[in-house]
Amino acid sequence: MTIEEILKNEHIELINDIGQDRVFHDVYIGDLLSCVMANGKDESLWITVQRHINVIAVAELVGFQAIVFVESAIPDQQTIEKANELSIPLLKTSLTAFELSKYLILEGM
Amino acid sequence: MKKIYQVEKDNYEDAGQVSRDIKKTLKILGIDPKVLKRVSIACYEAEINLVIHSNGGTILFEVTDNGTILLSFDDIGPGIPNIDLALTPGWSTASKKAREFGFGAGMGLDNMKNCASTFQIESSSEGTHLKMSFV
Repeated sequence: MTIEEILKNEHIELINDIGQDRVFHDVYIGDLLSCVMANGKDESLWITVQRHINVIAVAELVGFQAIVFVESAIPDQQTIEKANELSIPLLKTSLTAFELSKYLILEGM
Repeated sequence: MKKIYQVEKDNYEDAGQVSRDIKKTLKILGIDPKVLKRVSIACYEAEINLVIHSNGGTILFEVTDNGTILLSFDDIGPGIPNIDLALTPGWSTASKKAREFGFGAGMGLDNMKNCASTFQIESSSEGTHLKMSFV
């Protein structure tokens, strides 16, 4: 599935204009960064409510394709700039992690 | 090849910079991606621990002639009162601030042990010394 495809959902928006053609093969949901690093797989989509700048470092270390901030969590400018520097697409949604997952599964994930 | 980095207490903004630099260096050296990921995760966990728990310290990164990657983390206290407890998955003494940032799951040392080929830790009130190797 691509970032572009999940953007068809009206509740999901792109925060930075990066990598809409990126393909993700798996999804990881988590907010505790150690668990995310231990269990997240590269080329996955990461769903979280954590929006501090450190999520960008974790996403880069794990090799996530993009981050979706759920429950209307919005990262600050510093986090967005770091994501731009490391070419990590950021998305936001008012959906919960469960609602987003349900949508992804219905769309074929 | 050797590199030494300084890490400041409570500097959450720059946390992860050292791990990124080490990852970048290892990528240039053409290290196996699986080893690279293990080193990156263990290094990041230990770097974060210096930021969250220590009064500051240093990270020594070395690649030996036979390709072994060595990481040493030395801080200036306050030390870990009970290492056995600290090594128990889920045990954490992280501050509220650290938890708000998504740290403090109590999985850090366990993650490091799982990633590293060798793992040694000793601690007193004067400081904690952690050494890991990766092959």
